[in-house]
Formats: sequence, structure tokens, C-alpha cells
Amino acid sequence: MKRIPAYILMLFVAISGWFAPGCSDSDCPLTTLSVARFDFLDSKTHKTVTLTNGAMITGLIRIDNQLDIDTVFNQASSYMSLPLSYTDQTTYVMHYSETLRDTIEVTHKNIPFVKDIECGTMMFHEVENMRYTTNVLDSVVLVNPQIDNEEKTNFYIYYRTADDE
Amino acid sequence: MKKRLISTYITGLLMMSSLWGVTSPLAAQEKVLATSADKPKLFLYQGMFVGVDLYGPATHALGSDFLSSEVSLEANLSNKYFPVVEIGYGKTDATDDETDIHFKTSAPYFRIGAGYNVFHKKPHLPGQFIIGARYGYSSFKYDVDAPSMTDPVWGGTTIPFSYQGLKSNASWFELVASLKTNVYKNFYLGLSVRYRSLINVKKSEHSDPWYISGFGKNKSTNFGVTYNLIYKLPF
Repeated sequence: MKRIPAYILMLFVAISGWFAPGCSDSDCPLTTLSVARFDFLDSKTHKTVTLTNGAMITGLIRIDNQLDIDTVFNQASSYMSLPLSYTDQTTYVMHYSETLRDTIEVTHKNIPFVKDIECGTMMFHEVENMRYTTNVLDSVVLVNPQIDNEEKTNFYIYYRTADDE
Repeated sequence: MKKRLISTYITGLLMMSSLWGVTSPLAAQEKVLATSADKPKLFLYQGMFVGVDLYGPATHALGSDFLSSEVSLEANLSNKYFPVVEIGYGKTDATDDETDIHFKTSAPYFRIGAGYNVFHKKPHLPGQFIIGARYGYSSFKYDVDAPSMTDPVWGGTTIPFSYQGLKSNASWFELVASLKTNVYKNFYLGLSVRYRSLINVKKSEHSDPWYISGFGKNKSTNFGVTYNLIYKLPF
């Protein structure tokens, strides 16, 4: 009586050894930090503008009625990527000079997330509301309320440039 | 983790080596409608096979985080086409050593599909070499727990991470190559390798399911192996 050809069995031994469960590479994301990206645009032309002297950004949050302030971006010129806090409100102060500044207050929902148990936890955010001053900037527009570890623009900050006036 | 991989691989080799040269003299019986000297004509229905997967429980016993067990019901049509239904149950209760994140689920699944016997023109062989496809589906709930999260920038705020009974479902497609050989009377051993491609998986707000019963680890594509003890029903 004939048997199943040996080459078929050999093929199976090789293939199924390769396919054995658990032989997987890590699919963890390159970054687990969620940041909100703000792009600076001209209010008329909607083109990217560059702040001549840049801006230093401080972030402040309120925990148990105490303000906690931290520098979160040193020299923002045409965009800034800023972390949000684990409280439900994060406030950013843009220091254009010693005396000139704008404040952007973002109210957000925090969403703890696990993509893969081998990759650790991440904190995503969903923007629910925002307020801002208009000392230098013209307006702020929410483009994408979902803030996660994928790089994308979440806000446009419009400025009036000298050419506009 | 490496030890687990090696033991899994060895299990696979041992199981597959059992197919070598183990064939029954009763192999390849076919139901013949009428015999003539030249060309016997076959019934369409050639029998029904019931199989139980041994590979899932064996790999779990050797340390795999996943336990999967299934039964299959396969019809033989003209020794050429093999429609099949596979019903199983998968579970995991695992905690990652490094991240300390815990994932738990247990759920049934099913697959439906068909195969084609590449050797249908060689009825003297003691089994079949079948290539085919499956559609799989599982609906399940899962729990995820992780250490509390502390704000990495400002500190001060800690948020707990514990979500129970998150609902999900998933469907997938499989390409299957399987080898089945008769070993004793109506008993067969069958080995299959499977390439799985996820069609969709429902994610929750707080996590992707880490494991999908019947599919394996939640990735866009996956590979699987089953090793079945099969009984050919006597009708």
C-alpha cells in the first residue's frame, strides 16, 4: 500500500514549526505619549506662519486648589506639541515676550488605553471645550478633538501678520 | 518566553512525526456505486469525520498563555470536496511580566468552510491532502487591569485602570492546508496549518482585545496549527 508522499510530510513539519503559536514580533507603537499639536497659521492666507522670536510655553494645572506650573515647550515657532494633564483641564500660557502673552485653556476627557498588554498603558484625551485670550493670536480652531499617540494636528492657531494690516 | 517557544515547537514536531509511516491497511476505502472493470462510479457522499483538536490543549499544558480546544465535523463528498464546521472554545488569563497588565477572556467560536482534496485522483493513498478556506467568528467579553497611571508631566494625579466585561466581536478568514491519514480502523490523525487574516474586530474605548478566541493574538494576520484526532463515522 502506498503512503502519503514524504515531501508533503516534510513540508508540513517545516511549515507548522514556523507557524507555531507565540512566534510573534512586538507590535508596540513607537511612542506611547499623547500630545496635542498646534499649528500656527496666517488668519488671512491660512499658510504657516513663523513667530519671529518664538514663544515659550508653560502649562498649568490645578490639583487640590493648588496651581502646578511647568515649562512644556521651549521655543515654539511654527507649531507646538504639548502634553495634556491627567486632570480634566490643562492651561497653556504662550510667552511671546516678558509682558506679552496669550492663554489657551483646554477642557478634556482622559481615556486610559491599552493596545497590547506587552506595550503598557497610554493616556488618550478627547477635547470637550476650550477658551483663549486674543492678545496676539487671532483665533484658535479645534481641528481634531482626539488626542492620542498618532501624530496629527489637533488645533490651528491663527495670527494676524503685518501683511494683513 | 523562549522556553515556551521551544517547547511549543518540539510539541509540534513530535505530533507531526506521528504521522510518518503510520497508516492503516484499511485506508482509502471508498463507497462505490457500481463497479466495472474500468471505471468505478463513486457516491457523492463518502462519509463524515468528527475530529478533536489536541494541539491547543497540548501547547497550553506546555506553558502557552492560550487554551483553545475545538471539535470539527467534516463531510467527504466524492473524496474531492470537504465542507467543514469547526466549533471551539478559547480562553486566556494572562499577565505580562514587564507591564503587569492583566487580560482575561473566555469565549466560544466557530468556523465554517470547505476544502479540496489535492490527491482525489489517488484513492490508493491512506488519507487526504486538503487545501481550503474558513470564515471564523467569535463574540466575547474581556477584562483588562493595569497598574494605576500617574501623570508623567505634572505628577500628582493618579488614575486607576480596571475595566471588566468589555464587549467585542471579531471575524476572520483562513487559508488552510491539512493532511489527514488513516491510522487504525476508522481513526485518523490530521494536521493543519492555517494562515489567518482578521476581517474586523470591535475595539472598546479603553483597549483593543489582546486575544480573540479561535483566531489567537489580535494582529492583522496570524498563523495557527491544529492537530486532530479524527473518527470516521460508520455511516
